[in-house]
Amino acid sequence: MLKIENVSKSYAKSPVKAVDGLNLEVKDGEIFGFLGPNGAGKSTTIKMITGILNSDSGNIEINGINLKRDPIKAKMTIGYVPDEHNTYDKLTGNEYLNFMGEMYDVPQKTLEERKTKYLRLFHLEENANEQIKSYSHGMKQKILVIGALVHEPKLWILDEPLTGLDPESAYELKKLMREHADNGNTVFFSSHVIDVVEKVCDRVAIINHGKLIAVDTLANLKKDKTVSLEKIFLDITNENNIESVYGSKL
Amino acid sequence: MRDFSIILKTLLRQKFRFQRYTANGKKNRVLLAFIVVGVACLPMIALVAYSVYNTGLIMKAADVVTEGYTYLITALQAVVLFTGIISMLNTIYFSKDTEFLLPLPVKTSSIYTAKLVYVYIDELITGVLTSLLLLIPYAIAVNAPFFVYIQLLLVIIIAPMLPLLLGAIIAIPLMWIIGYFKNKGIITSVVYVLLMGILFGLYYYFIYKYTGSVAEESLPGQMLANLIVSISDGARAILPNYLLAKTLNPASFGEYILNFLYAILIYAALMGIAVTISSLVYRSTIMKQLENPKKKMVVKSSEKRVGIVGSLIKSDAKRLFRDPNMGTFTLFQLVIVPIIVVFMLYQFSGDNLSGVDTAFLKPVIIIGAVAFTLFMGMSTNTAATSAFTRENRNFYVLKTLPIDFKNILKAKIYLAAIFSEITLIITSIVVAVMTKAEWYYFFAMVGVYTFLNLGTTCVQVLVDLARPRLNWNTFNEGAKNNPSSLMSLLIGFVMMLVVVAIGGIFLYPLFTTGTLSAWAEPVMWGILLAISLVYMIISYEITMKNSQKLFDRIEQ
Repeated sequence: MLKIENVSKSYAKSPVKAVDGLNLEVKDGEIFGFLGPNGAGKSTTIKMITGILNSDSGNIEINGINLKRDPIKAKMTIGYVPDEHNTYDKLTGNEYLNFMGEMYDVPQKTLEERKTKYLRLFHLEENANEQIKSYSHGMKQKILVIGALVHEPKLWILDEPLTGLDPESAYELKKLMREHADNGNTVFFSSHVIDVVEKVCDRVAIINHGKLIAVDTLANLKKDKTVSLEKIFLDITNENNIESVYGSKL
Repeated sequence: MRDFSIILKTLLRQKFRFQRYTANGKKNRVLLAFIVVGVACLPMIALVAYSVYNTGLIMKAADVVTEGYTYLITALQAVVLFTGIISMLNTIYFSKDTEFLLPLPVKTSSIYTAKLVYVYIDELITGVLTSLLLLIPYAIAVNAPFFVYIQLLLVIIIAPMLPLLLGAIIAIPLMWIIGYFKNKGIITSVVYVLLMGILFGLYYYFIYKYTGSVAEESLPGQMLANLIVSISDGARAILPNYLLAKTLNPASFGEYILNFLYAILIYAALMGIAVTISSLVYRSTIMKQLENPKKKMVVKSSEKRVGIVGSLIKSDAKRLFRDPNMGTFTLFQLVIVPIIVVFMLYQFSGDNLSGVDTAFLKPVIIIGAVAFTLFMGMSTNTAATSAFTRENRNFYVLKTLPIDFKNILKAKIYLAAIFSEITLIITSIVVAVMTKAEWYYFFAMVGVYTFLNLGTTCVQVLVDLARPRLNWNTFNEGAKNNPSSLMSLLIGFVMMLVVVAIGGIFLYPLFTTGTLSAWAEPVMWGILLAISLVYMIISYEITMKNSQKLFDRIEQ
């Protein structure tokens, strides 16, 4: 469960708020899509949830734990897949997963079982003892996904997770996200690929200029069944059309 | 503690894991490059060791052995400070793994301490190598007993802590100022370099204040007495090092234990203060680095067209300076080389060496400054500016541009040459002014510098293309993972030797007769200019002829 209350963030000396009074609640068992145009505040929000950045005001609660008050306990329940591969690329895949296992205090036996399971699922078994620097973009993405799952987090955050994945792995990842949510966990992911969001997510939030402009189930957002989510997204993020498209929900 | 050790282990693995083969299956030759550079530098190493040995003999005769150890420990720390602060800023504050480590469920203080210890271990290698050059020859010269060599090991382990802790403290205001200027493009790099310049300027001022002012009397006996007093006072001023040095030259076992305990206590107290202060502000400091403020600014939508080469240079320069890491290293030599040359020349100036006539040595001092400047100028910023491999993924963008490769090549060469040239011209002005040299010296120096600089930049570009390594993002990674940048060091060193050798041939009579014939200097500069010009033409031609096939070969 993720609860964001009145969270704002301004960067130093900037007159523009990167995130402005954001309120959001993502429930257990839900796959939540976080959409917005470039520079809307998605990454800043994710960085605040994962503890990379501090918020200026407001509260973030992760699985009932206040992030500011008890950051380590809160982070223990998060698994994060970043959009960039800034990891230790001279480690082998196996070593990286062992590192993540140690960081999240996963018992050795459980870690081995999960490693085997996920490495097999993403066809990385044969490359597990190679250094990450020799991996392709997609393979790096897969190892980061596995690294975020070894402790089976209650809240799984993925930032543009499908970039660079081959169709089979993308399918496996989507399936995994569904399974993870069905097991009572929360999946929070941001993406530009609206088709994927439409297929995978239970609820969607759209953010623009740091403000939340829509949050609802796909069914409610798509009052008119013939209109795609892409069309709704484009209409909503075009400021002149917000009122006409979304009217009373704002 | 557990988190600290896991992070430290991982950082060390990331740093020191040696790959026998490169990504494209070729044998990794980084070690070989280190060995080649090491062997090439042997004459210089031997020269320094021999000088230290002789200094040891003098110190022993003057009965200031402990003071000598103090200065050598301080010199070792100076080297560690120089390399360590750069490594520290890159590892702790500019490191790309920060965004990976912060979401992990560990205390920020564990991340900070692990990184600090990692930098310390890294710099320990520098400390060991420097001590082999400084402390061991000195210990041999002063006839140190066997136990001193054992104690030296402890000193080598302890001594690098001080500059690193100093660096940790200095880094705090440095990072706040950089944070203030963040995203202001070139201003960030300029501010950073100026701060580093001030830091090193103060450092050299401090060192020379205590070691530079020799005497006010002209009588040799009085000069020597004053010199000993000056050395003794200076050494005592650096208390932690003086105590450490006393453990290497104790009068009794009791004194050894007492001084060692004092030294350990002072180091531990300083370490505690530095780590506590810096780890407290670490999180807020790195967060400032991660922020990416949006600001409203007036942007020119159109720019004056400068042609293909000009446009490539402009875009490369902008990328270079908007990256604080690369920008800093490109500008660093602009500040540090003139500073060091100023202090070097001050040492030999008549004002400093009262009673000693240095006027007759002017041609030698100038040639020495030229040789040193060439070495520094040719080998400090090369990995940042001239390397094609700095482009990383952009490298492939270059390949797709619908332009003649020669334009891309020229842009690379000219950009790197321009920045080295600015350093060399500034230094030429410094040398000419400080030595009160005749005007032709200035033009001769600039001429030699320009030809050698352009020729060397061509060779560096060629070496980089011949052994390309695309995966590096910071100057440190470039310098340590890319054998080409080590070759720059070697080229700079060879260049220095050539200038010294030619200078030595023509200026030798100064040392034997004290005079030079009227033709010696003009001919010397003429030969230097001719050799430099030929070198530039040949390396430019070879680079232009061979680069394209090397460029095309990369990752085909």
